[in-house]
This record gives sequence, C-alpha cells and structure tokens, in this order.
Amino acid sequence: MARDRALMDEAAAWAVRTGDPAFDDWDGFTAWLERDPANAQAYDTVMAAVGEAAEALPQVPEAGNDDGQAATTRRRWIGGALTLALAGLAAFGAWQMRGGSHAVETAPGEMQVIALDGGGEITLAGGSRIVLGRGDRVASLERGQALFSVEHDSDAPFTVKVGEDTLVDVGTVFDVARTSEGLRVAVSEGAVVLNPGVVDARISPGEVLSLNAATGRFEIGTVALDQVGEWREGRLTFQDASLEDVAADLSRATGTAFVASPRAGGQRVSGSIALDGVQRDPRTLGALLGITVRHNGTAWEIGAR
Amino acid sequence: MRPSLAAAPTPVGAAATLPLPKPAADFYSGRRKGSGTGLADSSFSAGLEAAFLANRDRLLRFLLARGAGDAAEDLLQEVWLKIATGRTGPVASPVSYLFRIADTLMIDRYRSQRQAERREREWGRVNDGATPGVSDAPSVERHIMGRQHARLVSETLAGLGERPAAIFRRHRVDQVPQRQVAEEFGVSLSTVESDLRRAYAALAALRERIDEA
Repeated sequence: MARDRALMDEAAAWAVRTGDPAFDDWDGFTAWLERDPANAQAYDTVMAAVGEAAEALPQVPEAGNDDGQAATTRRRWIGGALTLALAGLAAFGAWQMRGGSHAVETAPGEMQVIALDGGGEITLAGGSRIVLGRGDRVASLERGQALFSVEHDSDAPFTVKVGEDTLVDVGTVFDVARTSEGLRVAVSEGAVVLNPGVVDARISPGEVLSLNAATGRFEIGTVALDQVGEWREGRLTFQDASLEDVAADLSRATGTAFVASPRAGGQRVSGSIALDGVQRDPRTLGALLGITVRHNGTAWEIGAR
Repeated sequence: MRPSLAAAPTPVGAAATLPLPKPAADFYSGRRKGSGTGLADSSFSAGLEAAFLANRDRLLRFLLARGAGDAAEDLLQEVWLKIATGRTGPVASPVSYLFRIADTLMIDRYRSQRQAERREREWGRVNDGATPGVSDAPSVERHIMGRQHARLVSETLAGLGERPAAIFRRHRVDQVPQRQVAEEFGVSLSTVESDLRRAYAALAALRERIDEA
C-alpha cells in the first residue's frame, strides 16, 4: 500500500512534467519507465484519471457557486485575493453573525453523542465544548476533543473551526482534539484538509496531524486506524505527547483531575492505556507511561521520572 | 467539449486496424522521398521527418518502455503517419514533439481499452439484471455515473484547496502551459508543479476507488 502510493506519487510527478509542452527529458522518462513495468502502468493510470477528470469538469459548476466558477477563479487569483477556498467557509462567518447556533458541552468523564441534522454524528469527549451551526455543517470545537463521523456533501463540506484554524472534510471519520499547543487531527476514513487555500495540509486515513497554533508549524505522523476515536471505548494512546496533553486528555476522559508537574520539563511520553484501570487507581499510570504520579491535594500530578 | 492533450485525433484500436503493411526496412525513407501528400507544409514536415528518422530507435525504445509490447512497431508507424500526413505548424522542438505524439498514442490506447472493458462490464451487468426490453438502461446508468464522477472530481480538487484546484483547471481544462499558469497565479513554477502533482495523485486515487467500488 505504501509502495503503491509512492509509485503513484512518482507517476504523478512524471505526468505533470510530460504534460507540459516545455518538457524535453524524454530519455530520463524512458529510463524511469524501463526501471519497472509497473511504472508505465502507474503512469497510464494517472494520465487516464487526469484526462477523464479534465473532461468531466466543465460539465459541473463548482459546488455552491452559480456564477461560473471557471471564468471567475482566475480573475480572483490574479487580483491576489488569497481568500478562503470553499463556499462553506465564507458561510461560516455569516452564520456566526446571524447567531443560528447551538452549543453542546460535556463535563469531565462524560461523553455525549450528538446526532447531526442530515446524518452523521459527533461524539464529544469529556470536558469538551462544541458549537454547531448552519444546518449542523459547521462546528467550532472550543474545548476538548470530538470524533466526527459526517456524511460528505460537496455542496456543504463539513467544516470544523479550532481557534484560528479550519478543517474541511473531504471524507468522513476524523478525531479532533485541542492540545496545549494547538490542535491534533487524526483521520480514519476519507480525508481532512487543514486551512484550505492557506496551508492546504491534507490528512489521509491513518495519519495524524499536530499543529502548533502559535508558530503555524505542523507535523504529520501515522496512527493505527483503530486508535482513531478509541477514547470512546475507554482507551487512550499517546504518541510522543507532552505531559500537559496527557494530563488534559486524562482529565477529560476520566473526570478525575490530572495536571502536569511544573517540573515536567519537556518530557514526552508514548503508550496506550485502558481508562478503567486508571480510574480505579491513577498510580498505575506511572508504570504504563514511565512517569511519576502523586496526588498534590487537588489533582493527580504527573511528572518526569 | 472534450479537451484533449494534443491536437491529434484519438485513434481507437489504431494498431489493429491500420491498413498499411508492416514497415519494411525502407518504409520510412520511402515515405520521405515521396512526401507529396499535399497536406503538410513541406518544410515543417521535412524537419519532423528528419527528426523521426534520426530518432527512430529512441522512439521505439520509448514505446516499448511505455508498455506497447508487440504493438510498438505499429505505433511507431502511426507516429510517422501523423507527421507525414498531418497538418503541422512550426514545432519548436521536433524530437519532443515526436515523443509527445508517441506518448499521446499510448495514453489514448490505454483509455480506449479501459472504456471497452467498462462497456463490457456494464453490458454484463445489464444482462444479468434480466430485464428484457430495457435497452436504454446502460446509457442512463452511464449518464448518472458521469455526473457522479464529475462531482467526485470537483470534490477531490476542492479538497486540495482553491489554488491547486484552480491551477489544475487552468492547465488541464484551459490547456495553458505551466509557466504561464505560474505567471497568472503569481507563484513559482515549482509551486504549480507541486499543486498539479497533488491533484494528479488525488485524481488517480479517486479513479482507483471508483474502479474498486
């Protein structure tokens, strides 16, 4: 699978180059083709898909746009207006002003499933708050974490706002969490795009993106598909997570207060834990994640060992 | 409107139906000497023909690498026919032009094979349905599939963001060369290439998902 994707990306790169009238490295292209018969097949697949797509396009105007997108897009770009991509995003601001929204909030340790108008659902983790609007197609995750299982609709792409950042679904099942640094998105089905038109980072199934909202830097790592949204089943997996995030996730999920020790430094931990065990005895975390756990009078403090 | 990559018409099953004999050793030079087709401007055509003759082996090697197999010689002949009989304007780089014709022939060949396979599958599906007399079912189904496909393509491109989607349209639908697209959008050529790469990969993945469905 990974190899297929690498091959397709390689084929796409050649297709882009050969597709331009200025291309002249035909010997280089021949050499690439000769390296493996699968290369020619991949190239054919890409070229056929691209050709069919280009032919299909003029038949359908862009979603949510009835003023002739193809003709106007270029002018807008030449004007240098790097504005938001999808019609849904522009609608978000208007919706906020109209105030047609409702909020759902959970207490720590609680979990709530929100059925969406028009299908799909959001599972809201404990200690979280989300505001829904515009026919349940726009959600603003104000605090905490949520798993989105939404039905994709190109006329109204599902949009999640997290602070200043925007996620737009291209597919369907994804988990969003606010972290101490910014946000984290993991995708198990379909795909999600971060800040379309600006960053355009695409997160595919099995990928997790962590964004530092202050610096705008993000990293994309991998995640096992069954770990996406596993907190619903009472399990949390941490990958190179800061103790602040571990404490926040644990507090939300268990309803028990956890804090990171002020002396935690920059320690990061990885590990997978079952929550019921932690709820019974928070000290079991110590062995599981290789950290110290002690009660400071108001909360369980976790720190570097 | 069916925009196509090159001005050349689409040969369907060209290799099989070519009425000409297999190329003899002197086939190409014979054509060249007789270049009295009257269709091509002789100077452009002569330049291309010279380029063809000088690069025949490279082109053949390319077609083989491209997966032409036994049809490679037939396709090479087809390239020759296109330049010998086609109306060709001035060509900046004759050698590139020849490779492009060969590549386009292979792309069209692959696509017509795929279409034939798809038609066969549809035909099978319709007949399995055992609804005699509903002869228009395949075309209705095809129409719906076409609309769905167009929609999926739009979604896939939109998912990449506005700029990649717009750049893809400009280059592939409006047929504007990449350097000019870069100028229009005020971005570097490598940005255009990178946007297109992403669009191509996403569209190929979409196609695979559709085919698997």
